[in-house]
Amino acid sequence: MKIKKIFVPFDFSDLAESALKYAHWLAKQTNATLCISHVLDKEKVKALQQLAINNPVSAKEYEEQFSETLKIHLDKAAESYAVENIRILKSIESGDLIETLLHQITEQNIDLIIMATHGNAGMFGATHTEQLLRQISIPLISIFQPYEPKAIKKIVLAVDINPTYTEVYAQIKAFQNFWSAKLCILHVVTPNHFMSSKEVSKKLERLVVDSKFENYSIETVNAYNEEEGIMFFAQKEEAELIIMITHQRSGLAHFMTGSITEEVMKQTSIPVLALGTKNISETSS
Amino acid sequence: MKTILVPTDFSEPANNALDVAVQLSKLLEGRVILLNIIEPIKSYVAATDGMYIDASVEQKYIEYLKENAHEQMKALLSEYKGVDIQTHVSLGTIFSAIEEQVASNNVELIVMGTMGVSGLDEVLIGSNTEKVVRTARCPVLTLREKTNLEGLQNLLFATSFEKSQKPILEEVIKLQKLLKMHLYLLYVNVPNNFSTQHEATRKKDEFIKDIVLENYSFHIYNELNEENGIIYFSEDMKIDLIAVATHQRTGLAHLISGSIAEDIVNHSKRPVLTFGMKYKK
Repeated sequence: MKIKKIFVPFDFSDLAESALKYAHWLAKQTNATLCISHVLDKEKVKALQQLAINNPVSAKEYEEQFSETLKIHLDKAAESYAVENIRILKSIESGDLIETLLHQITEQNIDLIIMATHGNAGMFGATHTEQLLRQISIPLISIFQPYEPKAIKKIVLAVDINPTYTEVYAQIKAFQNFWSAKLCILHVVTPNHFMSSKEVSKKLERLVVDSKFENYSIETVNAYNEEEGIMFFAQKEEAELIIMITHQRSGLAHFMTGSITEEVMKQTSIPVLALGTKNISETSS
Repeated sequence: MKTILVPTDFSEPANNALDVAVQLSKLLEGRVILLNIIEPIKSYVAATDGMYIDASVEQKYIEYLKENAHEQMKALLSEYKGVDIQTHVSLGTIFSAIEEQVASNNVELIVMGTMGVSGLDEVLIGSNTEKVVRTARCPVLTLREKTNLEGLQNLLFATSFEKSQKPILEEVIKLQKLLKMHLYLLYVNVPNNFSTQHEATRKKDEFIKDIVLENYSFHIYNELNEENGIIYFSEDMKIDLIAVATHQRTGLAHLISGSIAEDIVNHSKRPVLTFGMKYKK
């Protein structure tokens, strides 16, 4: 599993601290470099400036001062993680959040993103994690609740019976082998898509043959919807990681059908690793 | 004194049932009643061309059948020395003969051989075993093949976890202990009555709340109907004995909705133990 650069979008929130802690823990095991990035949203600066109406400082100066303060804070945040020979690169840029992050990810040759998910996107909006998720072609781990990193012994792989993503299986195996974890391959049966246990077994067995997974178990859980089933199972098994394959739909298609991966990310207390189907080309070895 | 009733027609499944009853009676220190039933000829005659049969001819024929039955029973008994087996030949319909025995002898278990039945016969007539299962006032164990009780390891109790089935679980546990088996508690999830994992588990927890269970495991199996769920699960998990409750619906109600237990009795290759809802312990 080739992870040389781990990218952590950082907004100074407690949750971002948790994500950074997790990233640091991972960096120690993989000897990766931590790239911590704060993006200064121009819109936010304007908004803050509006509040300080009596302040004679100009917009540009305000931004510069703000940047300086941020740099100090970011240095401070990264300080505790600079121990044990972990390389840390910090950056503060301003601009459109998602665009900037995407740009940095490509430029810096990032292998893995670890990000806090705030879940406050409202009904029509999307969280930053969701927006990023739809466009990247590298793995992303989402942290929704403060999580104490611990050795990964059990991974829940939530699968859809129908499509086959053989290329992504190689990546999953790489993660599994890195931690020598057990892989619980889970299919959730819902009332609208009822499947008999026989059918599920047959299809999942075929998946296992195609993917050549080892040290695995096949599970079926009945639930009213997929996210509920995945979370119920992961919590019951006390898994340390949930892996999901996301279709990375955007636009209207996404609005209509939603994304199970994103729903799970906004509800679970366990870190979720999303592998997009766009992931296919490069990291298959 | 535990009394086990074995209705027999001297077929191979019936002989296998007697063998199992004897094994059980040894374990329970009980006795066996071997019962052959001769149904009145008049009912057959009425079905043909209404030819009148002389009463004396009928009488002679019945005597012949009775003698024949006693002969066959004697032969069977010679194989089981030292076991308390009473023999009896009754005249009448199967249900009335069995009900009479159950009532007058305090029968606690009926063990019967079944040939199984399918197709139109199954819908319209049903097997005799099925009829007994439907009407009996005590549990009925049905089986086809020769069975060695000591070799049985996996016991299945398929249940909906309704409160009324709690006494049945308690009886199943007694059997589990007697034969030293692992108990599989199974909930079959069907599309018409979908239950989430969470709900099914909660029902199970509520159900077994005051009951002491050992050496057991809980399973949920999805299938389009309960009977197939129970049979497929039994095949997958190599179940040796299936225990199930039956609602004992009769008449039109039965014709329309059928019964899960009776379907299993008709189609399962394994021994099946049915507990009627009329059954009270």
